[in-house]
Amino acid sequence: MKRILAVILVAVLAITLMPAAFAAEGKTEVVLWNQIFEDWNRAWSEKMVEEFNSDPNQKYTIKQEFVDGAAWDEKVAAARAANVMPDMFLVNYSNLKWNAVDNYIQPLDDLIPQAAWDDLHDNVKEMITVNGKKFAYPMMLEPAVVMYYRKDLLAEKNLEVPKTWEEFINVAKELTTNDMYGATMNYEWSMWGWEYTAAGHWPIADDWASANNQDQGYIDLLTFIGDLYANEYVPLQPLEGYNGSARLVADDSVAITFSGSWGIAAIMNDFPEMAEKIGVAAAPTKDGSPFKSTVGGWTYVIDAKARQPEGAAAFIHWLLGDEPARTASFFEAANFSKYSARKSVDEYLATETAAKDDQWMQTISQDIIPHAIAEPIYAWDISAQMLTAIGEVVTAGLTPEEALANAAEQINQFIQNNNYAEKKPD
Amino acid sequence: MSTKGYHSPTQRMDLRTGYLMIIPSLVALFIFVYIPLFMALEKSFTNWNFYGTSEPVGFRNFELVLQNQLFRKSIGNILWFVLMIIPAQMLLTFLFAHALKGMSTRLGPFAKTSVYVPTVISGIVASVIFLFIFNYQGGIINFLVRQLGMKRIAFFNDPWLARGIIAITSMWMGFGSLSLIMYAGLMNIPVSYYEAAEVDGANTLQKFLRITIPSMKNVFILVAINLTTGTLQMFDLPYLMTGGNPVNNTLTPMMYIYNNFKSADYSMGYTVAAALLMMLVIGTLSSFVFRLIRSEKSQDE
Repeated sequence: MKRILAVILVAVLAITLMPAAFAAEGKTEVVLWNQIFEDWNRAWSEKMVEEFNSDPNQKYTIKQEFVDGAAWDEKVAAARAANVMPDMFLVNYSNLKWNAVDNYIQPLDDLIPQAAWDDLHDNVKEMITVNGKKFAYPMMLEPAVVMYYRKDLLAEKNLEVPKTWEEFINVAKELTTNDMYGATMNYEWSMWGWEYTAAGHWPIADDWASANNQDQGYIDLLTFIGDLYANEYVPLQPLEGYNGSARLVADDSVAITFSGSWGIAAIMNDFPEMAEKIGVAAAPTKDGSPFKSTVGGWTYVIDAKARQPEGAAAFIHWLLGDEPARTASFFEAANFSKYSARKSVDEYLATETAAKDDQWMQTISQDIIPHAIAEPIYAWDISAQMLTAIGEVVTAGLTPEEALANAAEQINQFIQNNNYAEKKPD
Repeated sequence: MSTKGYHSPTQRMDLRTGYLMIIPSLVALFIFVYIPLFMALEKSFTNWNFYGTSEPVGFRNFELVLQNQLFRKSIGNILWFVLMIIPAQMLLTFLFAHALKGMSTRLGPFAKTSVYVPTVISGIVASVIFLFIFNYQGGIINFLVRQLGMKRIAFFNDPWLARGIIAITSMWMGFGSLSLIMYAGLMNIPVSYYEAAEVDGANTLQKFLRITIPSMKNVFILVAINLTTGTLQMFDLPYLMTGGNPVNNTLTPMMYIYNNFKSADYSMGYTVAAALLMMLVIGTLSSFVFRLIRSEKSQDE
C-alpha cells in the first residue's frame, strides 16, 4: 500500500513540475490575457503567440489565456483583489487612462525601443499618454460609427446615400416596408460621435466642472432621433446590439444601419455573398458637414505588478512595433476593418497588400478617419445620463429640452458629489 | 427532568457532543460570513484601491450611494417588483395548493410534478424562454401579431410591460416550489379542527377564515420572507431580458452593484457600501414582513 502511495505521489509531482521544467529550459514564461472577439481574431493571436514561442532568439515564452468579454471586467477586478493579474492584458484606449491614473499599469517608455515610438502617428501617441508617460504600444484603431447601407435597395428607388438627417429620414421612410425596416438607430455607447458632431463639444465642460449639454446641437440631435422612433422608421427595440449591427443589412433586416468598422469583417466572414450589395459611408449630419466618429481600439498593457515586465514588453514590441509585415498581417486577417497606428505599417498595407484596392477601406480612410476624434475618458455615468435623455425622449415622451435638463442636473450632481473637476487626468 | 443549573453526567456528555457538532458550522459561518462582513464594513469606509493605498473616507461612500440617482431608481424599481410579485404569487400559490388538496389521487401527483418543472429551470433558461415569447424580432407573440397584419409590439420598450414580463417570469419560476410548500402547510392542518367546526355548524367560508388561514400563518411567513428576499436580490432575469432598460426602469440594486463592481468609475469601497446598504434594506423589509404576519406557534402545541 505504501509503495502504491509513493508511486502516486511521484507521478503527481512529476505532472505538476513538468511545465515548470520545460519553462526552465532557458525560457521564462509570460502570461497574457486576451479577450475573445471574432474567430479570425483569435486564430491570428494564437498563430502569433505560437510563432513567438517557437522563435529560438526569444528568451521568453508566452502563455496566452482567452477570457470572454462578458466575464472580463469581473475577472480583472477579482484578479487585482487577489494579486493574480497576468503580466500583460488587453485594454481599450478609453480605459487605458484610468488604469494608468489608478496605478494598475506601468509605463512602457523605457521598455520599448525609441524607433518604435517614432513610428507612431502623433494623434495615437496622445491616446496612450498619461502625465507625459506612454502606457501602451497601440495595436490598432477602429472608427466607432460607420454607416452600412444596401446599394441595391437604394438604387431600386433611385435614392442617394444620405448625407444629412433630412435625407436620412426620407431614405429610411422610403425603404421601410412590411418586411424590412428602413434604418436602425441604437442609442448605446456609440452615441459619443453623434453627440460631438451635433454640438461640437462633449456634454461636460472641458474642465469637467459642469454639464454642457443643453445647446441647440444636442436639442436637434434628440429631436432627430425622437422623430425616427415616433414615425417608426427604425425598430422600436434594437434588433441587435450596436457592436453586431452590421449583419442587419446583410440578412435583410434593415436597409441602413450603423456599427463600428469591425462590422466589415463580420460581413466578409459571415455573408461574403452580400458584400457586393453593401456600401459603407460616413454617418449623416444635420447640415451634411463631416461626421466626427470616435475612434477607439485595443492594445496590450503591462500590469503594474507584472513579474516579467521585460518579457511582456519584448512580446509587445515583437508583435506590434517591429516588422511592418508582421503587424500588417493583423489588418489583412481583419479584412481591413481596422486601421494601423504606425506609419510604416500604413505604407506596407498601401503598397504590398490588397488594401490598396479595397473600396470600403478607401471610403473609411478618406471620409471617416480624417475627421475622427478620440473616445472621451470621462466617467460612464455622464455618457449614461445622455443615453437616458435620449431614452426619455423616445420612450417617455419628454421633450428634448426637458430630457437634457434632467441629464444636466444629474451630470452636475455627479460632478459635485465626486469632486470631478479635480479628477481630470492630463 | 433536570433542575435549573444542574446537569447529570449523561446530560453533560450530550451537551458536549452537541457543541462539538455545531462547531464546524460555527467555524464555517465565521470564516465565510462574519470575517468577510467585518472586512466589507471596514472597506466601505475607505476609497479601496487594489493596487494603491486605501484612505479612510468616513461615511462618504454611503452618502454617495444614497445620493446616486441610479441607486435610488433601482430601489424604486425593486419595490415595484416586490409589490407586483409577492401578493400575486402568494395568492396564486395558495389557491393552487387549495385546488391541489381537492384533486383526485390520480390528477394530484400529475399536477404537482407539472408545476414543479419550472423550479428546476435556471433563471438564464427561463429568460431565454420568455424572450422567445416576447422578443421584438422573432418572438412568438410578435410573429402571430405580424401574421394578423398588425405592427410588432415592443414589449421591452415600455417600462410597465417590461416590468410585468419580468415579474411573470419570476412568478413562473417560483410557482411550483411555493405551491408545494403551501400544499404541505394545508395538509398539515389537523382534520379534527374541521370536523369539530362542522359539528359546531360552521360553513365553508367560516372554516376557511377561522381554521385554514390562521393555521397557515407560519407557512405564509416562510413563503413571504423567501419571496421578499429573493425578489429584492433579483438579478439574472432583468440582466438577461432587458439589461435594466428601458431607461433604467428594470435596473435592480443587484445589477447596479454588479455594474459598479465592474466599473472603474468608483472605488471598490463605494461598491461595498452599496452592497451593505442593500443588505440593510433586505433585512429591514424581511423583519417588516415578519411583523406584518405575526409569528405564532402552531395551535397544536
